[in-house]
Amino acid sequence: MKKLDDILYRVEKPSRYIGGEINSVMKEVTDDMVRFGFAFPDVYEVGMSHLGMHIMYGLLNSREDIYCERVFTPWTDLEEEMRQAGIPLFTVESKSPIRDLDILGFTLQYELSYTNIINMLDLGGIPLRGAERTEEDPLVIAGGPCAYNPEPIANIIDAFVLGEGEEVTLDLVECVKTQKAEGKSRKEILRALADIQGVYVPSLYEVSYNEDGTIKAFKPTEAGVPEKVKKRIIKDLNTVYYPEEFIVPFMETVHERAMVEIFRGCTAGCRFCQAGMIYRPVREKSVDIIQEAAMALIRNTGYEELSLASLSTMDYSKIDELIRGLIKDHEDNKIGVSLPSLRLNSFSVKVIEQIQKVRKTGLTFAPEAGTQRMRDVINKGVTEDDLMGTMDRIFNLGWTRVKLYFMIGLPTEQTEDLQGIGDLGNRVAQMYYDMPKENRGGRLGITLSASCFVPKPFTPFQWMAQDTMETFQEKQQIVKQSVTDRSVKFNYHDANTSFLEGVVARGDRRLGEALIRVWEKGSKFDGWQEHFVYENWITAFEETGVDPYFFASRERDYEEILPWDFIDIGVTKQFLIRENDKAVDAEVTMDCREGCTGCGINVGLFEGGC
Amino acid sequence: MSVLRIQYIKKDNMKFLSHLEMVRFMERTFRRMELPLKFSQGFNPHPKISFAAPLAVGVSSEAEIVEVELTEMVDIPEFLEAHKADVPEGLRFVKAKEVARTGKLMAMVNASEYLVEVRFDASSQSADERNEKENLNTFLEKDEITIQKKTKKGKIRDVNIRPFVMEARNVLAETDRSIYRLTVATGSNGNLKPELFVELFMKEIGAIEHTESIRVHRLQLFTDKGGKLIPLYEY
Repeated sequence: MKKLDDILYRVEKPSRYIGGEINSVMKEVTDDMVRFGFAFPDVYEVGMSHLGMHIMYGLLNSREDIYCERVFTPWTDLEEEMRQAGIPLFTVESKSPIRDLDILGFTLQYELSYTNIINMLDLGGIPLRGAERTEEDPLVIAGGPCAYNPEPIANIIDAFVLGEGEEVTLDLVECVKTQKAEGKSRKEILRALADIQGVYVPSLYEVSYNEDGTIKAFKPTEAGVPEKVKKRIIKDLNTVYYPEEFIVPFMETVHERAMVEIFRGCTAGCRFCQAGMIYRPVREKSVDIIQEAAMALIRNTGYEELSLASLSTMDYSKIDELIRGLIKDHEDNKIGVSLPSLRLNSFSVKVIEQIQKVRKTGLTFAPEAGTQRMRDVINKGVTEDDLMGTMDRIFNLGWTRVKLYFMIGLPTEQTEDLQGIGDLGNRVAQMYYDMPKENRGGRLGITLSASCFVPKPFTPFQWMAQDTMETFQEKQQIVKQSVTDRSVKFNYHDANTSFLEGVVARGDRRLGEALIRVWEKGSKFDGWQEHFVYENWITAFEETGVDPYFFASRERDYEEILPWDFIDIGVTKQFLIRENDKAVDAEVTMDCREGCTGCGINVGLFEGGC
Repeated sequence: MSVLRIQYIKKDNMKFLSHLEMVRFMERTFRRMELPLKFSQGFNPHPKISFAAPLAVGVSSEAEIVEVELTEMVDIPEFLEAHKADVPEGLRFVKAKEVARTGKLMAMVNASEYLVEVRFDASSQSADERNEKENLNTFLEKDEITIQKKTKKGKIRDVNIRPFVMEARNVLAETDRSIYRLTVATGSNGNLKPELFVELFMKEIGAIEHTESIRVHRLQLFTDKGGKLIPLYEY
């Protein structure tokens, strides 16, 4: 690839594209192996920070008859060069054109990455729509959190994988391998895939609509194709595959550390949180298994930091024992242990104290809302006392920089709830200044960060109308004005982006052509503020006859057929309805470690207790 | 405390690593190899690793130098063998030795030797027309070769780079490419990028419009010992 070498001299950050990183896998390509492309629709450094990719890459490559390579979106400078030189999108490992692969699997992490998926297909010379692909083209599949509403890209993706990928992806690859060996056509392969639990093949379903635009019926077009697609669940996390090595990127990535998964699922039951619902039930790994995995990863990567991955680290039942063990294992080598996603309570501070012995890492907390009533509405089990107590402890330990995350646009939100965000920041600052001078660490810096709430499928808030952009902007100003302390900074996100996320998150098949039109207008990297062009989306919606407000800003009845209703995540619709009704009354639901809250996961998919 | 000095090759795709990426890569390589690293004191302890002279992205090298502080010396032949299984082929530790800590490694660098390859486009003059060997000699006879440089404050200043060129030879001249071998000043007491000199020369002979690319490969790092340049590794 002499041509590529020359091009790499002309682009930014060429180490994104070279491959050959520590622990990346080179295999000799043979005719009988299944070639799989794990595609992350964003730049290398974002994709390489994604835990799921490391797991799937290791798992697929542990099989001799499968070669899994990585595919990322080239930054715009390289894309331009590639288009000019006629170089099609290639894999990082062998630099093979992606159209030579058998399966191209996208991970769907955020809605605004869909324009990048379209762009990558185009750059790879693969027809954009499933219906246009021939026997020569790879099968285009997708999984990840956004696959729980697959409908907006049903025209682009041939098959979706729902649920945890470890088992179902291997089933899928196996099926493709056998079918291909038998000389089956693309259509026949897709039909066979639909029989695998957790696989959704959109072309085998038909949707009809009522006059008001809502869905009238959603049905398979062929007998034998399941009406409901059940997500896949790994039963025992202690025996499931976990890589002993991660690829160590040359370039600086978003998360530069060895990540060890400690559990899946979450028991807190926050009502805004899609992950908390779709990843149920909670399954923990044992302390021993985690320590072993951490040891192997540190040895094989050379990382200087270890991070525990889960939805809510502090909820791990033996967190204290685990942290002690990890610190002991790695103290001598000066390996820092970091804990993302901290819940606020006095207990978490004890753990932080231990971590501090080795290395100071930044602290972020997510109270999510400014008043107790609002936190009860969203069922965020954090009280003002928790927050203040925690802040007091960490200030006394010498931390002076804290980031607090909030959401605006939550259901039943009032002006006082918004002002509560600023008030909270002010009070935390005041508490710091009330401390004796000799106990204070340094200059105080509190950052309040508020995102615009996007209601997601499979949450109790899936029926609600999202705030309009105008409302969001007004609310942002209210919060801004409520911040009076000089050491408190308020950051907020662009409401445009959240609105479009809202449209896509709860959109249906009718969005598919609109998304392609957005890309045709030149949109890509929409998750990057510098590339995001709101007007492209709005005009594309107009030209394709899509009303974005229908999807984002409309309140739905409980009776309405939602585009994702055909997916069975184990949690019942009745549970979501009950939770939504309780939210309106600011009535909390207990953490399900304290007792079963009846979400349905234990009866539906998990056959017995959680 | 022991200091291990390593000379390494950086080529192929590894040439695309920036200096910062190289620093991180080296630390992780040493950690994976389980060297007995000596850490700095304080809240954020880090291993003590120093590089001689940063390489720009895209520049390959035959003779980079890195030093790492260890709590005890390792078996050097074993160390040199072990790394091959761990790092990409574009990076090779060629030799290593224990050295006494003598001061800042970076401050010891005074000059570097490079190969610079110039590639010309299809409409370029012929090698004879460019007549690089003779023209280079004439060019080097000048007392002053000035370039304009932006100072940190943003002002533009003339800099004479002639004193920074210790040696310059054309070693290959073909119609589509030429190769130069240069020894130029490197370090805080004068620093010249070799491609800059070659570019100026291409301008001088009217070949810059046909210059497609310039590639740089470092051959050696030198330290000045009593007016004599000796390879840094030997020092």
